[in-house]
Amino acid sequence: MSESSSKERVMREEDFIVSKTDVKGHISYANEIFIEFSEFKENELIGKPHNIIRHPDMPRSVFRFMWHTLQKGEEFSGYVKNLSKHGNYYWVFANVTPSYGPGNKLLGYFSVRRKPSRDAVALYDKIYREMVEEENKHSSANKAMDASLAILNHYVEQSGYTYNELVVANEM
Amino acid sequence: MSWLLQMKCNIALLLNTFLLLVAGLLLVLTTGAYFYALIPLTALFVCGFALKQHHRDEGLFNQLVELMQAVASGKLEQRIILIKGSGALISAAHNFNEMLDQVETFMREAGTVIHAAEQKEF
Repeated sequence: MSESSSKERVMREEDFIVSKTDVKGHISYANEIFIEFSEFKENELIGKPHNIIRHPDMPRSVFRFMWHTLQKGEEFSGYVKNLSKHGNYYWVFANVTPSYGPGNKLLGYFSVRRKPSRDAVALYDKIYREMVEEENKHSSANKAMDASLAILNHYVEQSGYTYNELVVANEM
Repeated sequence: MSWLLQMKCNIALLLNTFLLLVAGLLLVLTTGAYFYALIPLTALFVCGFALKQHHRDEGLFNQLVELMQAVASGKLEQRIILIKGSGALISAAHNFNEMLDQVETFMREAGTVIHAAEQKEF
């Protein structure tokens, strides 16, 4: 997909993207707004890995950080650039929480995405570019992740907040 | 629609189809014009379509009832996926999903706030 044919689709104020996945991250439910922005049909999404909408501009370390957070039983919030079926992209402010069944058994994950503020999009677009650039410098995947996350940590430390406080503050 | 009314509708549909079949057959036999065979063929087609749609709607209605029972027993995670049916029932199913999305999100956010308060994060 060439850069020129890729368009940004901006979420509306009231838009509310919801999806659910199983433990392995395979989509088990996608609401109508998800279907609209992803440009996939529902039957093309159900059962597929959630990274079907992963944009190549997203640092891989952000998703590693997300999985790490979720595996600790904590929720993840963050800004994500998503890729649609036809090569368009849309920025979201995502929140992912684990779902537990009887006996505290992990059932899967529940994710809500809202319209992000334009300031936040501009900021994370810049940070993520630096992170992707850093990741491309390393041949070892682990080193690439560590170096990339160090950049994110640097921005977090500079703000004087924790990561979670920072992403919430970006929306205020 | 009550069960009895549905039965009556189905019986009326089948009866109509049967009458059109007989009428078409008689017309073909008496006039010798095969053109009249279109009448029973159309009737059969319409009947088949109506029964299929009725069957699908019944399935979606049962899914909706199951979903409501799940919510009534405190389970908010269930949704109806790959919705198949017609008209108002489809809209009811979509709106039920969206409603649960809002309720589940609200519950989770409340959980987060309680957790943060416990940890004195904010």
